[in-house]
Amino acid sequence: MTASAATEPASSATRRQRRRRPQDAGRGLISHADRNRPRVRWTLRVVQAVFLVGAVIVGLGPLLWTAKGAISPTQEMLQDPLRLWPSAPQWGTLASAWAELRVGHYLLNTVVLVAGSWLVQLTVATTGAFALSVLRPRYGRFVYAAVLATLFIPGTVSLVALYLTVLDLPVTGGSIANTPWAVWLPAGAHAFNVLIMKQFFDALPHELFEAAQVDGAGPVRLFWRIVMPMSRPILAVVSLLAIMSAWKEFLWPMIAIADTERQPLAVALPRLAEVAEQNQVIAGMFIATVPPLLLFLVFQRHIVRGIGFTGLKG
Amino acid sequence: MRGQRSNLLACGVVAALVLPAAACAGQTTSDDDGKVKITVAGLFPTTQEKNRQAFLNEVKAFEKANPTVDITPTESKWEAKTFAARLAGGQLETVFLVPLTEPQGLIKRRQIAEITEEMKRLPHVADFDQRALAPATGQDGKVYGLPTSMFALGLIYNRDLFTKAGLDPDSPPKTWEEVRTAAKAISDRTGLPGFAQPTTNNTGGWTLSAITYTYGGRIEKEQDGSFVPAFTEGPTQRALEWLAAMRWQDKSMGTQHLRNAGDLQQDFAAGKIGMMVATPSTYGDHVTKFNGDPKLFGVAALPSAGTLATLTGGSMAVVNPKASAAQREAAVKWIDHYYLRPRYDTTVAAQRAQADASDKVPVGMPRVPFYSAAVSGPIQEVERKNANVPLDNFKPYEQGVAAQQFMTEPPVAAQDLYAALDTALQAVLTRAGADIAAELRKAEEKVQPALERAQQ
Amino acid sequence: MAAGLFLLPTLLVFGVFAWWPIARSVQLSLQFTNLVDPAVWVGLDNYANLFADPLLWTTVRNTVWFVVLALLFGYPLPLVMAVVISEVRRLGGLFRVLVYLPVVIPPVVAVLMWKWFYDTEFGLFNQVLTAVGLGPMPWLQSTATAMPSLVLEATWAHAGSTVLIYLAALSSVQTELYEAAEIDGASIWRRLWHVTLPQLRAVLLIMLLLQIIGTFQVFTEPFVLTDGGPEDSTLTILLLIYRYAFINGDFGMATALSVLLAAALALLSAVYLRLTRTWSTT
Repeated sequence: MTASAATEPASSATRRQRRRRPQDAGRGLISHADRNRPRVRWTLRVVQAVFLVGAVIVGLGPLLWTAKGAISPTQEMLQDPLRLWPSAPQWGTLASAWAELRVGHYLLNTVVLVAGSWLVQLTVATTGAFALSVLRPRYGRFVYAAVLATLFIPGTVSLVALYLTVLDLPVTGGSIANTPWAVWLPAGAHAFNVLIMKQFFDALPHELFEAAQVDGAGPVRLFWRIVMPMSRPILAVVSLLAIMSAWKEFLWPMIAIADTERQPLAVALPRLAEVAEQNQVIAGMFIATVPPLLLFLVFQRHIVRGIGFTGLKG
Repeated sequence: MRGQRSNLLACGVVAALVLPAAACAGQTTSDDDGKVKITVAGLFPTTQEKNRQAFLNEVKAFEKANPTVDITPTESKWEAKTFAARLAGGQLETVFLVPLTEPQGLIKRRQIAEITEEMKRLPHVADFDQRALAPATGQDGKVYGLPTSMFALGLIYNRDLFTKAGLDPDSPPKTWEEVRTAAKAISDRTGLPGFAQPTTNNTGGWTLSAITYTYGGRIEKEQDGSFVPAFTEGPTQRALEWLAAMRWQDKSMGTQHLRNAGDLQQDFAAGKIGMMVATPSTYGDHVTKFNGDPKLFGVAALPSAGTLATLTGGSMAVVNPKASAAQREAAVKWIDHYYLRPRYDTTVAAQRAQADASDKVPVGMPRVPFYSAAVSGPIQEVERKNANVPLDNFKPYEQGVAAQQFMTEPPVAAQDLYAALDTALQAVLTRAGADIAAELRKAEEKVQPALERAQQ
Repeated sequence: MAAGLFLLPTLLVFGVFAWWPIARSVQLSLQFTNLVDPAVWVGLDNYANLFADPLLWTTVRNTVWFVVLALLFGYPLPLVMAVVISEVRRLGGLFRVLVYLPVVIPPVVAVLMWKWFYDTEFGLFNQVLTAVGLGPMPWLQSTATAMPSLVLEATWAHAGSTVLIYLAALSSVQTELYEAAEIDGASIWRRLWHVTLPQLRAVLLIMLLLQIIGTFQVFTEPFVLTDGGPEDSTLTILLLIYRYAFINGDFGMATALSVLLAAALALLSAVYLRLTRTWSTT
């Protein structure tokens, strides 16, 4: 992770702008003339220093605290929370959390739920957006309107009814509660994905599709061989956002998967916190944080761009 | 059959959505081999490996004795948060366990099966102690559940802290005033909370109701044919005044109050609490779940302020309302086999006690008997012989509990009452100078609509 | 035909897991069900019961209070951070990463972490406060400070993504206007006020609405940290819905409250969508 990589501008529009001008020449609120004034320069330096210290404490601090807590004896955490490094690091806590609290087991549950949610979201968004943007059936407008309408009603408010729905599916009457399907399938009903995917497809050169169709390519080949390969950037953005948000899910998996054996780590942790040795719980918290953290550090450019791009929160 | 088909259909839809449809192994209730299939809750988790094995052995023994029944044990435990959801989802086992606070509400909402007839076919039915059946007996006199474990609330105290504070661990407090004095001594000498009171997840209201009974009060009463709150009548207020005095005058309760009974148990096991109201069965979690020191665990009968009374806690086994007649029959047989037999059959009791003891499962904690003295007396003897708990630590409890009257849960909307009292407790323990009478009136206003709804 | 096949996943998933539950909410809010016996139509009884419950107004007050506090803490802060990050130039990438880190931590982990920090006896915050002589604070243990404490955690957890959105918006501010203002002799502060902020107006308004809609649905924080206490001071609307449904087993009242909340949020969302549309076309 280098600073230059992360300063990747957050929207493609600005990237073009910046490319036109070398970065030093670009200006913001504060002009070069301002920057040359000693008072402004010093104020900026002080602000930068204060901000850096603040950002490290607030952004990195809690993560370091979790890492430290995971290898500290519980008593020391209680008696001396300000200690920077445990007197005698207990690396075994991570292992015992893995074995005794079965953090690994719950982590696997999380991975299964996240992977499935991602796949369903991507399937629904790409096929739906492809049909609406490229194939354009006559009734497409109504479907699109109905999909967008769900943006008006956040999922949390239809939570209770959604729960009763997974218990007793309409028409067929079966139950998928307590199975990963109860998390995977509702994750697909995410109108924002369809929206941004369709907008991306709309911007693709449609002449290309027509040419392909003239060459005898059916819709499936068009989708798989032409549209999908052209959509890598948007697929990456939607994938990352889907994975990050699925990893954070708490309320819905807690309700939909009552069986403690099948719960993801996020749901298991508060329950374990009530019965287990505290440093083991913190070790579990640490383990739960590592995968999304790594994902973020590796793909931060895409994530930062994706957030700027979609205007989507968290 | 119908269930099976609709499950298949559901899976068909799911499979149409996303191809790998391996997860669709639906639960079925009866199978081609003609066996009655039932699921039973209560299997111990892998963290309690020994209890778990003992349970599984009993399942095998039962299936051998009843070859037409096929039992699938599950680990799921009662949890208020998920119960309604699991009930709605048809995920509840044929036999499941609920705390004593629950059956009355479940009966009212017709969410558990009536098992009077099935029960009557069990051995020793005439010897049942009615107090043990009361929590799951409906207003109509019919039986909806059987006891699996029952304990009367007492005062749990840390014997080490008592010694450190210059108190005698062998003569624990008998009145709430003595509790207050002891709490102050512990707090002054050790800096730890001398007395702890839960205030969340309805566990605060539950223990407060027990304290209310010892002040001669009730939290719910029948008036003109319907049930109304009774905690504004004085005794509850005096109990709260007593808590407020410890919290704010003596400062002997610490400053951390948004906690439930489970949090307190954990702290108690870690040696960070002087005294609290809980059942002697807490000892089980104390040693097996929280690795607490058995020696520091002391228990006395619930102290009083004039009235010798206590509240029973524990669990009842109840049967799924959707169970077929054959399943109900098998379910009650299983309840008898696993939970009741050791309470009337000395041979089984001895076997169970020895097995438990060798597995280091606590044996010998004072329990509320399910049967009349003639049946339960010899059982107690057997258990004492195999006891692996510090029996001396339980003596103060046994001496006191004999004279106490056992109260049962409020029959209507108990959880709403406890929730409202939780709030009042939070007010008293987190806000200096809270107007206790006003807080109780607020709680009454809050719980009134819930009581009315429950009796519509 | 092919279009229909491609639309099938969308129609099935949205039909079953979005449109149907919304319709079902309305239906359930007019019914009584114990989930064992067939449901009974009860008209507006559930709504009547809801309005008879004093907790309803408590939760509405609390939720609005949470939203207001979240705006006070959480609304200006990301803007200030974004402006500073975009102006200090150096280490911009590092700042972006640091600011976004709390967003990466799973919310449950974050909340459990803060539960430790807020512990009145052994918590980090009180140890620091005591060390600098500001004395211990009751944090979650008092009606006055419990809600602000929840908001503090929520702000910490969510501010990062807002900062990134503002940074994106800031980078598209027209710099020519700064130059014009500078020639007119406008100070840095005046330029910020008269040039930067007006250009961010659309984003600011949208973030305001998004934040209101988001904070109206607050659940995890009070659920894990306080269970609505002390004295119901952190009992939010969603927590009450959860209690009705999953603790009291009253699905009628739970869905009635859901329907009301949905109506309120739908109104806000409609405003939001309108704004995004005008924003993206200008």
